[in-house]
Amino acid sequence: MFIRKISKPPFLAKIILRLSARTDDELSLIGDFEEEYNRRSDEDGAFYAWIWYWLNTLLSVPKFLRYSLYRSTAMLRNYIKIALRNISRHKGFSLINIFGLSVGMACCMVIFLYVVSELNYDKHHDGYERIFRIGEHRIVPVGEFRSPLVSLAVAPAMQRDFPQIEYIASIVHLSNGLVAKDELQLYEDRIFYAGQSLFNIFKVDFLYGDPENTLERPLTAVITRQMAEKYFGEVNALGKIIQIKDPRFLRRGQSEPEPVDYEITGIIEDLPSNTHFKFDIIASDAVYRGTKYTEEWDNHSAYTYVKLRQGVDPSEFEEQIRMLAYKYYGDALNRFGQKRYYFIQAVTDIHFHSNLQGASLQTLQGELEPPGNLMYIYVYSAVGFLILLIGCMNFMNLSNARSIYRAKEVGLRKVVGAKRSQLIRQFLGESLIITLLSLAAGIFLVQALLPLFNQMAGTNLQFEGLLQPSVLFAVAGLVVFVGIFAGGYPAFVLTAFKPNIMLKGSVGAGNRGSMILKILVLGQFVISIFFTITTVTVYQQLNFMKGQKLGFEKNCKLVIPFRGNRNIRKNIENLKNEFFEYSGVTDVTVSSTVPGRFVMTNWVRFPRETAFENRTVNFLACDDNFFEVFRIETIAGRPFQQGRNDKNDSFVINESAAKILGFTSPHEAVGKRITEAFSQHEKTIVGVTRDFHFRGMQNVVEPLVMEYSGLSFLYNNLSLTLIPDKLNDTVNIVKTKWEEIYPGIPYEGFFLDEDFDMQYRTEGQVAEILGLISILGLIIACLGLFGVTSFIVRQKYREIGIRKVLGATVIHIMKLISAEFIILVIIAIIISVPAAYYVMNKWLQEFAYRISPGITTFGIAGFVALSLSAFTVNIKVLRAAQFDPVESIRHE
Amino acid sequence: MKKLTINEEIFLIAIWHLGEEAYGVNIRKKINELEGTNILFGTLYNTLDYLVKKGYVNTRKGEITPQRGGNNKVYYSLTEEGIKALQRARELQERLWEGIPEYAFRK
Repeated sequence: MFIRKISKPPFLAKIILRLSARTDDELSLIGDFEEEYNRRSDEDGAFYAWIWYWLNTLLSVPKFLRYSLYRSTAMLRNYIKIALRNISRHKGFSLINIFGLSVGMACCMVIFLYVVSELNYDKHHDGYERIFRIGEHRIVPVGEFRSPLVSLAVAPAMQRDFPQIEYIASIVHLSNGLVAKDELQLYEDRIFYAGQSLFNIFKVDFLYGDPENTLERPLTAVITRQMAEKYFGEVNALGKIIQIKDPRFLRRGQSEPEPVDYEITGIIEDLPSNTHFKFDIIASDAVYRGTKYTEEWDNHSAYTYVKLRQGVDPSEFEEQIRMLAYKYYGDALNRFGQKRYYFIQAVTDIHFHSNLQGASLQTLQGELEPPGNLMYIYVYSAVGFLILLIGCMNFMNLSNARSIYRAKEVGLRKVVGAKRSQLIRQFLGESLIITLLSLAAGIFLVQALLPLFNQMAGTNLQFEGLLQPSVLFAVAGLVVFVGIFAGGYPAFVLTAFKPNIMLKGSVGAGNRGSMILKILVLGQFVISIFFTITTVTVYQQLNFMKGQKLGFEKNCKLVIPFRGNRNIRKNIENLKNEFFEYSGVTDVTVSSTVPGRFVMTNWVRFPRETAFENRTVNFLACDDNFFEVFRIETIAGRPFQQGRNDKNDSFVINESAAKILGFTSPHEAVGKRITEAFSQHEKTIVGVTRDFHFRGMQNVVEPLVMEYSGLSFLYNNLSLTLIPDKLNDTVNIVKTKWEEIYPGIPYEGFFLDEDFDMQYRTEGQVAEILGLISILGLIIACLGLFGVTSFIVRQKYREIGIRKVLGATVIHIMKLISAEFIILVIIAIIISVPAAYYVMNKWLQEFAYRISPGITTFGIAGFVALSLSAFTVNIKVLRAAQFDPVESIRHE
Repeated sequence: MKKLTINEEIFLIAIWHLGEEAYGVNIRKKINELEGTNILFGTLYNTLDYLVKKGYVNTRKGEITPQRGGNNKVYYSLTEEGIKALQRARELQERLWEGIPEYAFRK
């Protein structure tokens, strides 16, 4: 048989053609094209045929499209009309649907904004993949630690040695900096010294000033919009002068640092909330640039960032810088018996994956801001998804319940000749319209919810964030997903039935329909009860932590931090006397820190059988009054006492420290001598205190060593015990007095109990957010239940009437209908209790002192869910049960 | 009854001419022959679709040939409606031209 050679037409053109085909019949046009193509390729050659195929495809497709667009809008208009008619005919149903969906979507969008913002931490810098922070891994005889603070000499050395580096910047935190402008003077916590190169690495938006040339000269500063408004009352503060006092910055011939004038050479837009390096003021580092400080390898004060050149392999770079310290500082390191290695961290990893220590154990924590917790990102994402799921289930549920009415419509449409695909399109279209309406409502809700969420979560999310392309894309995806997911049941299941069955009206009321309905109600309640249990657990844990005995007295304690001011420190005794005289103050103490605030760590050495051993402990300096003021109990030995040689020769330790130092009982520790590792001071333990919680309940009580130090620079806080009944008066008097004695030092007093509870802020936020979500979840679920019940009641009108005629009471009828739902809710409780128990137990593991979720937790949640659902169901049923049976039997 | 446009008329006539052989490629060939111009497949299918919608033309799935890359032919045939419409069109034409001598429009 003669077979002609068959050649293949261009693939892409064929795809285009296929896409433009509207019906099955039209697929034949592809065949026609191909036949013609084959003929031409036989007659005129393959190339000519190829051209012909493409040309005809491209010329024909627009015609197809125009034609089909014209036709499909006609159908679309019809769908929209019918959908709107359906929505307005069942107003209650539509309201519940739209409310549930819009709340779900709003929550989802807010959480989406939050998650996107968290996951984009530090991603707004140009070329952020090439930005790294240098970290230092230091091994010293007493221990080892990893810190983001490196020596100031690192940056110049690296710049010299590594051409792979495009930009390098060191920044030095100015701690306890005092900012002054005329009368206004305040402590600012986010002042840094840096050079011009900082702005080559981190992206900032300059409002005023020349971005290329701001920090070159000494005594220049760049400030944020917020700072400009705060100190100058206007944004354009260019060329104006601000005074900054750095407690470490002593000029020659001065005993006390003086405020230094800085000229403002740049004002930048406030930084986004999702960057780990937040600053208010950048002061030029020209004061120490090129001085001996930048050659010193034994300081650890600078955060150092590099931006690598394009194409540099970060891991190779890391390998090369690892041993840098040995090139310049190797001898000294060997002499001290130390090791020092450098490593790098991607700037985008810092927020979630880095929790490094301070440079030495005596400084504050190493990270510029407390690290984020990825767990909460997962939790919030799950929560957002689940609440949306409840909304969708509402939709499915009500569509399902209503399907008995829709079934007739569908049956009729089928009889008249509607194809299944058309019906599916119609139902999906309808649910898309409801989804779009809910989206519109949801967007309004987002606007209302965002400030609330920002306040709860301490974030700064902007509504404008929703307008980014990525977010818009996600929202569009959300609409399609929700529309298809929620409208899926009527679209795919309902349209599959035979029209004759549907017209009889037995679909939806059948077993299959009510099974799905029950499963959906069950699902909604499982989720919302789960939320309720978690909320109750979080609140219980929070209350538990706040209510625990701390081992010290935190009420009526006014603490005034004095931030390393030398004048105050020198005159501590006078200061104590000043306040002690006043009648509202009963007791005064000074200490390095107060419970709830940062406690430094240190090592102690102690003799152990043959050798010396080192232990990491927390360190606190305090005077003899400390134990009295905070009512800390001594269980062995004595506290510090005036008149003894305690200032030079004594330690008081806590029980945990006694344990870690290997003493079998607190009494055994008294009289033993231990050495503080840094200063090599050997002192005697004179007393052991009962463990008290100097940190929040998340942590176990750690070993603590207290010394009555003679070094005034260790003291930073003045604590006053006030008489409870005139707290406010006393605070005012203390404040005025403080301002009188120290006009140059801002008063920053706080109450210890409030400050201590700030440690539970994260848990408080979680509790509030979960609480809100679970309330919303329960409301949506109950509204859905309400809708479903009303449909069922309508279905059972006659049954109710007949039962009443036969002698059933209202209670009987309520039992009859609500029993089903109550059983569902009980099943939901049974399902969600173990799940919630598992999840909450995991969460609780983060706390050293925790509750175990028990009967009360589940009891409260179960009671809330049960009573709410019983109430919802019975509003509707009660009304139905009270109807005159004559009316209801005549019904239909 | 709606009048046929000249395009529709040409299509129906082409389909009538082809009888059992009226599918896409042939119809297009025939129309090109009758009209003397080259029409696009795009125009072809849109018009055919319209004729089907109007009920002038029926479709029927046909065989698959290797040249067609595994796609069915779709055959078109005139319906009663279509034939009536053609008859009406013809009557109209003839009535219109009746009594106009051929030389009337000659220069």
